[in-house]
Amino acid sequence: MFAAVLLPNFRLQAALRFREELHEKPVAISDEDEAKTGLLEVSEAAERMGVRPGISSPQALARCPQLTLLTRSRPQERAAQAALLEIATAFSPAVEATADGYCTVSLQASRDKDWPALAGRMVEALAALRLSAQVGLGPNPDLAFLAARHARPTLVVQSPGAFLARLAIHELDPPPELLAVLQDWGIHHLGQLTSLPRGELMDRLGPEAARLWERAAGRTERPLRLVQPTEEFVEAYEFEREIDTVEPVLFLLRRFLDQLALRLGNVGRVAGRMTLTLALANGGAHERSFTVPSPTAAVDVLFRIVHTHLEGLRLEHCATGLQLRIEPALAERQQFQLFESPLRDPNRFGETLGRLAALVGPEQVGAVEALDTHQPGILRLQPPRFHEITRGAPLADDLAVGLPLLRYRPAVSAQVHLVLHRLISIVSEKARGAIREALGPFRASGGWWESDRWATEEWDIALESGGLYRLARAGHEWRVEGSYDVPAVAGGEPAAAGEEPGHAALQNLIPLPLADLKSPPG
Amino acid sequence: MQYIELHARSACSFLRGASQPEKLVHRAAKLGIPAMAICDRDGVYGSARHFTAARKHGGRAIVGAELTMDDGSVVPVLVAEREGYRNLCQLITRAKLRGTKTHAPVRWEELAEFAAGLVALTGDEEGPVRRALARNDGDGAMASVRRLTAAFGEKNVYLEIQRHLRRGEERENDALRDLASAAKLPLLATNGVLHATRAERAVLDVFTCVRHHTHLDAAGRLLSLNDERHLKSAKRMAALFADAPEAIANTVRLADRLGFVLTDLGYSFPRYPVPDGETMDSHLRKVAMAGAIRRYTRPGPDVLAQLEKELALIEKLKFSGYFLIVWDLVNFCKQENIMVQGRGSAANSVVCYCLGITACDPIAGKLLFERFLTENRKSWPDIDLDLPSGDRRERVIQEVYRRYGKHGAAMTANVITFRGRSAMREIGKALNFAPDVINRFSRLFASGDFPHTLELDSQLKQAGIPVNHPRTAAALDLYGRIYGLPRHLGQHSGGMIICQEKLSGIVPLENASMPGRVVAQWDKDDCDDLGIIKVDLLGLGMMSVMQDSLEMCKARGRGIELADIPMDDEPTYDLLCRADTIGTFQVESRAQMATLPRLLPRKFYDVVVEVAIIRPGPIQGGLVNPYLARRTGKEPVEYLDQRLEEVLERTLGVPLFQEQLLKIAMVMADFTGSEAEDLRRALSFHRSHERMDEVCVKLREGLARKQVPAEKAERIVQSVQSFAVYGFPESHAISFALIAYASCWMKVHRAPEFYAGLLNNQPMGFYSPSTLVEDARRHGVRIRPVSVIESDWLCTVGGDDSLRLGLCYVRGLVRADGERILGERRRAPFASLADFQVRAAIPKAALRTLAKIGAFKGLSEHRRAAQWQVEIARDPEDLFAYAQAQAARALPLQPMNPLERVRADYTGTTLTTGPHPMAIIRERVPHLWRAAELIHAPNGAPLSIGGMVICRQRPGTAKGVVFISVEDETGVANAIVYAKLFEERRLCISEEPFLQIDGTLQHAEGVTHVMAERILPLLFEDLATPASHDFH
Repeated sequence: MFAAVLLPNFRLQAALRFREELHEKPVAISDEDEAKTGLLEVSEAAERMGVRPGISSPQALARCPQLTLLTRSRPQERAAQAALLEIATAFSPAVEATADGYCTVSLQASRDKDWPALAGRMVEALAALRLSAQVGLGPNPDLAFLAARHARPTLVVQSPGAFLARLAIHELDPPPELLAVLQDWGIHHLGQLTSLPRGELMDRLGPEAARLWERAAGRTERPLRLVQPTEEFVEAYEFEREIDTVEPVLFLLRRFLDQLALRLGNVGRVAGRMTLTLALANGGAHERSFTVPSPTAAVDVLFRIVHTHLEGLRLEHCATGLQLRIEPALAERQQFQLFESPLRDPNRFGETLGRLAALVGPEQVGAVEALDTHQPGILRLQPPRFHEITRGAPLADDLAVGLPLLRYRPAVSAQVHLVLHRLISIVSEKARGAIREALGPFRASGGWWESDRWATEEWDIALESGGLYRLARAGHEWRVEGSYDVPAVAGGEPAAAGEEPGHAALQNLIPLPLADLKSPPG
Repeated sequence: MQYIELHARSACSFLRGASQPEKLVHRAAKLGIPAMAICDRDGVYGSARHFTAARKHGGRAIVGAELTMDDGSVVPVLVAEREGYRNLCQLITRAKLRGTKTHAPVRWEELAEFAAGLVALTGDEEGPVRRALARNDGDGAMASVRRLTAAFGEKNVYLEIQRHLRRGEERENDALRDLASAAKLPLLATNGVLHATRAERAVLDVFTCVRHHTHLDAAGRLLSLNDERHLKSAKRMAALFADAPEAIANTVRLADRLGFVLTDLGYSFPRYPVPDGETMDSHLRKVAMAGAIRRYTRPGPDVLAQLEKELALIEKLKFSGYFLIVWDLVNFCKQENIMVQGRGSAANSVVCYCLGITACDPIAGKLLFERFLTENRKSWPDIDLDLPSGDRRERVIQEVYRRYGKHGAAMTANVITFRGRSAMREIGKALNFAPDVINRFSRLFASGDFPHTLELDSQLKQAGIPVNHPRTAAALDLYGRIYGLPRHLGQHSGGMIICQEKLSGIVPLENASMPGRVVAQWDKDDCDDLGIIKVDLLGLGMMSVMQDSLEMCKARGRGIELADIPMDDEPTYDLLCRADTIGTFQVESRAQMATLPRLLPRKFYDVVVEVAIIRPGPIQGGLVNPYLARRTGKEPVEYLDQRLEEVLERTLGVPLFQEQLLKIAMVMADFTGSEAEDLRRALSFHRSHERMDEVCVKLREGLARKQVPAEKAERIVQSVQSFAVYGFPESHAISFALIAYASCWMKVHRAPEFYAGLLNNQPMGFYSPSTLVEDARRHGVRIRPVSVIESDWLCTVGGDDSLRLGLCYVRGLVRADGERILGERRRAPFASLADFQVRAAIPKAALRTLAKIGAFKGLSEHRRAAQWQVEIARDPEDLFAYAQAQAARALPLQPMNPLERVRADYTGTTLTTGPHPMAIIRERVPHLWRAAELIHAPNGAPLSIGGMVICRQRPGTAKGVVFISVEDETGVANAIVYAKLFEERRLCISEEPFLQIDGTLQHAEGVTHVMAERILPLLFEDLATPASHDFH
């Protein structure tokens, strides 16, 4: 006996798993390229209003103005598919998964022969994961599949011949061209198909049609194409009550890691990345991924990584569930090169970064990456890519222009005295005094299409008393953005009296590329 | 201090500039800049518009262009004198005709050949010099300077310097100064203008996204750094370049050198080769007189006097060559058996009539010659030729190219601009809206670009972008700015320009997308502005239909010439009066059909009025109802002023034609010929309302001078303004009415040939082939289905006046396969379906379609039998298999039922020759009234109609009202939907193939329709439908 487990309207279900408020509403889901495919799936409420898969969304809205339109979410679909397979494998290790939202389970070895009850338990188990399933049982996989399509929510096929004859031909999912020919012939049901002489059918439409005929007659026997156990190592637990201290979490995590390390070891893998998910009482979740700097299966190392994170973690809501997922990796073998010294112990460095993150916040730790924008000073912190750290990585060309700027974060408020648009003097925490020379303004603006549009007007100034600074003006407010680091080679010898040293410095400030600083002319 | 902007790009650079030339000129005038050079990319696309706008503002339009070189750099050049302009046009033409549509660079080595009369700048960041400097390649920069000076001469190269308040630019500017002093070249300040004002920088950023196929969130530093590249005043530029005043002063010095203006084009129309001893004038006179004898047999004194008057004026204006060339082209058409008819104001000329260019007698029609030609006329007269669309028209176009060469003739351009759909599509993409949102927004534009009643923000909301969406404001703002900006260059449907010398020295030419076509960089309005003559070779689908139908009549022994069709045929006027005009020319739209029973045409001039009256001009001017009321005697015929009686007599005191408005202006406001000419041009232009406004000011002044009472004056001005939208000249209406009447006559007296002609020239007109077939059946034409035994490639008429559908209607059957079927059939009739399969050897998909639609009738028992048979592969060399296939076997498939046949017909041929789908499902909708029964229902009765939607029309003049026609097995029922209901049910109306319309029946003046109150989809998923022709 085989069980087919089908999650009808799979893409819609996946999208609605955590949106109960829409479960009874008219909802439809479409692909990103809806213009070509039309709607993919529609809810029952939508169907009652005349909305059908395949029609365009404007047509659907014409029939049902209150329709909610969703775009399919592949991550949610993957999660739902993983949940389906987990449940299926709990009933039998022999599982075939040939399509999203659908799997076939061989129950040949099952001791439990109460098929309706068994099918019911499958439905319940999936319902617990917020998935609505139809389970069909039949003597071969194809029959089980067809039974699943008609199950409400379960169906055990007792009389295959009678069951098949009334089914529509498209339920066997024949190739579109074959289906079109059969429909043109007026063949709409499997009973009609099997009434055609099989040999002549094959003469005309080829072996594909003959196979279809066999399936329509319920005569196919085939081995399942078993799925390999997933390489996603997940352990999860739902707390019976809300948890507001870290100890029970740590206790469970240690046990999780013991089990996962053992499973990893069995397939010769180590942990490359871990994702910790805490389901929260408010229905949300706290999720954090950790790159294991040097992939390992050592429980202590892995535990320290998550422990460090949890130590500094403060959540507004109690935890109600815990999930730890490990992405496996091959164990790494690395030989240090003669003249390069990458991190000696990346795991320890990673742990150090973790501790720093716990102290200053994860958003304050990482490797700097310049963004592709004209907006000055906009950088992003990226998680460090431990094995790409090499010395002497070239800076982008545009960053290499001018003197190094020591940027104040945040910028320092200043008062600038102007006379006839000329900058005369400045008072601020960082720079103060008469302005000898000023270059600017330099204007940049962008993001005009959003509410957080930006515009900057910058000046570079040299003070009478020495020092080069970058100023920015927004309206009437001035800020000191940073100071330029003027190496001796840049300015040369201090200018003699009457030579306008500030101007000379400013001349160097803008035009000199970094390369010139390294090898000054002369 | 003065400053001249010498490097600006307009939106005519297609996605590389954000402002229209007119806007740049307007801004320059406001800033006090006396002259400006627009250097569009690889062309002079915006130069004519720049010139026209500058002339109006008293500024000077300097011509230039940015040339993309073969190394990817861009060199701006400016025209100093006429030779330079000719060189620039020829250089661009050479590159354009050599390259592809998107990549046609100029070669460095050919610059020198065309450099005379041109001045080169070193360019902006895309220029060769700054590109080298950006690579820190000082030597390369100097080499580029040397290359330019070698080509253009040292006196003709300027080092361009710009300041856009960008970090690092001073380093470059210092280097440019050094280069200038080393090469002894003058510095020239420009702002590299890309938009007129700061605000249009957003448009430029969106265009950048379009060009790079990206969106604003991902475009990063591709976007502009700031909004500094707008037009700046002399004061601001002087302040910016306070350290280099000579760079500012040089702009004025250089501008003084650039003396060329577009009035110096040196264009002349080709000379017509005349026999020895003749001049063009004498030759024209001869052929016109000969034509007069042919036309009138014995031309009377009135004809001769008019002829003499016209010939004298033509000679005076030196237009004889033009008339001879058009005459020659018409002769070519006649020799090649291509139907041709002149339209437009040429129909007012007896010379055109005598030359055979036009078909109606202007003397008999009392047409106003001055509408066509006056002594004060500034531009060339219009002679438009209507030709059958398709291959026949293409032959004429290719003949023009053959006569004048690839560099001597060109199609005028048609600048494709951003309209509602395209504008929001690109804006949506740039703003990173989801594709389905953009699609939904586009679908809501069901009424095309007619002004529609859905507000833009509501439309965005319905598409899924709420008003409070963070990017809605940007979308709305951009929409207003981008709408109407040029997108790319297309070609005009039929306007051709030719030249005595090389046309490529007058305007750059480039390859059109269509093979064998060359297109000029100016559109027809630009050409008109600059005095370049154009001949419109326009394709009319109905001309093709008429020519095909008349040839079929001739072949069937009941031939008639177009000119011999009697103009007083009662049955034809009966057909017009009952608005039975589906398929005819010009009088088949819903609005026309609703007017015909009110106007009740009984003579040819009524048809002329009918053709002219349903146009935006008369409709918006509120002239339709007064005319109809006067015609039926409900309102007395009276004149705004007794002086206008002669002008308006024929149209019962209501101005319906452009000529009448000109006359009114002349009589009531003392417009001179020249002013009337301005008015005529304003009425012909649809580019802007500005021209119209200017003329109206003059008109008001004139009316006031003549002391016309204010109320009367206002009505006159309103009438004129309404014609600015769109109105017909009388001559044009007469030309169209001739074809319209002829098409109606054919429908009455040669119905099978007429419908065959219509079906063979689809798509055209308002209705789909399915509707035409239904209409043909209602007119007693028996429609026979496609048959491989009987059908030709095109639809044909049988001996019993039945119409046989052609193989061209079989979806998926290509012409070559169709011809093979016909060839084999000519060789020997098909003995069996298997014989057909072996000999015709057509692809399986087409074979299946033929079987499905019953095209094998006569070779197989029924459709399903054929379907069962065609699936067997036939190998012509396998004799046994062939014999086996002949052996009769029990057929396992059931014959198709009626519903299945209809479905198969629609999917296989887009129409059915069997019962109408509504007849089949009639039992399911017993509550719906049949179309033919509506006439019997009482006025005001609440009822429901329903059927297949064949037409949804929302004329721009109808204040949002939508006209829907639904077809059932008895005919067509019409409904009127007000804007409010339309907006509520917009998607239902525009998307559903079958509709049920509940409402109140109205019979009024012979017109029956349902005033819709509720609209529902009729959901029959087991039916396929043809596409309806929507929203004309």
